[in-house]
Amino acid sequence: MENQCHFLEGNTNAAKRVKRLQSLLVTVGIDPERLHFYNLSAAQGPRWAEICTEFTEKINKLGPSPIRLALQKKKEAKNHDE
Amino acid sequence: MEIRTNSRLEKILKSGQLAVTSECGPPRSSAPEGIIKKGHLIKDHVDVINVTDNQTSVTRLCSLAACVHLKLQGLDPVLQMVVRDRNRIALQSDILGAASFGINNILCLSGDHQSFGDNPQAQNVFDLDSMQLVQTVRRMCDEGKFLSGDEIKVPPKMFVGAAANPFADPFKIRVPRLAKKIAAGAEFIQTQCIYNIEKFELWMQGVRDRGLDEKVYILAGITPMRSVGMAKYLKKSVPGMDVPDELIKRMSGVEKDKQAAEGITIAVETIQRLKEVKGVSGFHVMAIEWEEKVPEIVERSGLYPRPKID
Amino acid sequence: MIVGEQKPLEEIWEMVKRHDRLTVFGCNTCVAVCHQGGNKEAGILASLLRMKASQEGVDIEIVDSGIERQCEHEFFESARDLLAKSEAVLSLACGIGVQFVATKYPVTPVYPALNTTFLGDVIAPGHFTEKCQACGDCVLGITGGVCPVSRCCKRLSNGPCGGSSNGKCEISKDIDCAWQLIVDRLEALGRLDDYEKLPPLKDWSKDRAGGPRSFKLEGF
Repeated sequence: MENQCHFLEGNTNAAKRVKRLQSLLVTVGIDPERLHFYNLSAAQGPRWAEICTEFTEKINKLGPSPIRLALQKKKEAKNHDE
Repeated sequence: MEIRTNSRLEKILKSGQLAVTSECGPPRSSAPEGIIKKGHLIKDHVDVINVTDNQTSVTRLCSLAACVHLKLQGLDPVLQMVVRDRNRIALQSDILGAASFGINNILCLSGDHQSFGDNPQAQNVFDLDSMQLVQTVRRMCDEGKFLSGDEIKVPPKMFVGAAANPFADPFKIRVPRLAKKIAAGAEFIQTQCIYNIEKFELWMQGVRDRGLDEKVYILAGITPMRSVGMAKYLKKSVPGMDVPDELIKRMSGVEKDKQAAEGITIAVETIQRLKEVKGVSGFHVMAIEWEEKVPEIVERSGLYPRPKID
Repeated sequence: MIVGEQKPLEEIWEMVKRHDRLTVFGCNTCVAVCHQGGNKEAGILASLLRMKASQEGVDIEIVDSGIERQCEHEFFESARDLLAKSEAVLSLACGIGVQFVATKYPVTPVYPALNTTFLGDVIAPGHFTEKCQACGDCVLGITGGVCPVSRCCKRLSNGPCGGSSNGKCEISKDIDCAWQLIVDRLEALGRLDDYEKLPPLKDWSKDRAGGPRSFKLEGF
């Protein structure tokens, strides 16, 4: 949880980095919604499961990442050539 | 008192009479008619006319050429020269050029930063600063030498001025800064527009305490406000401008169509009050794009007619 | 130290996209302090470029690496083989390092990933400010330890100008008026009288104006 990190400021630093990474993802055309930072403790198993479900649903809705699509296209083109 | 130059301003100041100067901005065009017209509007009411040098860093017809146009009309211009756009080679060269046209006065300025103008991407020069430009002109005139030490066969003759802003920070060096400009060789000073009279008088007190008023002619800067909007703009957006709240209140207490007249009246009252301040040698009336009001201000302030000088 | 800022990814991409094999090369001293050009940043930039390349359908093999300093020969030892076989190098060093790499590898294209911005300090974590312009003729001794050349927008030898207001410069409220700082320092040092001394005209021949500068130690 916030302010209760075993490594003192570790999780707040991580949150800042994730925020910065989100802005970098935008520069390469990736929806920053694909990356999210949650605070939760080891004792919050049910919440963890909930987050995983929610996030999987969200990603499913967003569809495949543009990188995956690009790579797939490349592979198909390669197969086609052969 | 020894007269060094053919400057009308120098002669009037050294005769002990109050001087009146004004300024005209050159056009953003290659047509000289505008500046000539402005010059004629005010020529009978002022002793010399400052010509601004790409003021607020907006590109305009050059100050030197505009001065030549006024000179050809028989007027006595003050060449404003900023160190923002020219290095010491160009500055010295333009001084010789101005002197060759019989331009008798120069006002040495640093110049607004280019970020305020139409070319914020421009390189700025600032090889010398305004104080060093004063030193340069005096050296050229008095010693007949270029900065390099080379001799100038026919040295220029110019009455040398500088600006002072009593309202800028830090206040504690505003009098020492004037002393420094005098040490550099400034003979006359034109001040920033004065709205906060008390602060100006405080500065003048400091000037007199050091006897600086005996060493330089101080012309108090006067700019009439056209509206309460202009008063607020000057206060809020122009750094180094001190507009007291009472003045804004006074302007806003007047109907919109009478605010311009009120602004003129405030300017006249300011001149009348500052005439009584020891050490004030004259007035620099800057009616920005409102030159036609200069005669009225000068007349109502009891500064008309202007002395005749041969 | 030298401060730089990473160029927009799009600009970098336009420079490097024509190559088949690119080395993204960090410089782990000055520009690592400002988190723009260190070896870690080289790794991040390489990842971003890989993502960009795959989306654009461009085949580039992108390798990331780095050394401690790209401005001295001896630091290049560890990267010698890698650089020798690189088709092109994207250097995250300042302009000095980029040129050093270009000189070392005369036929390898080298591109700058950063804009070298200034010589500055770290006044707070993540906050860098310009303090020197390497004018070659230091005046800090007479200006109370505050540099008017780099910190006054008009580099005035005799400031402040009429635009100094509440300690700030007329061009921005985010910029301290250098001459306010100088006056305050002189006063704190009991040397305010020095304010009125006129310094000699600045000799700009020792600055960039005099051409590229160099100096050589005797007996090396």
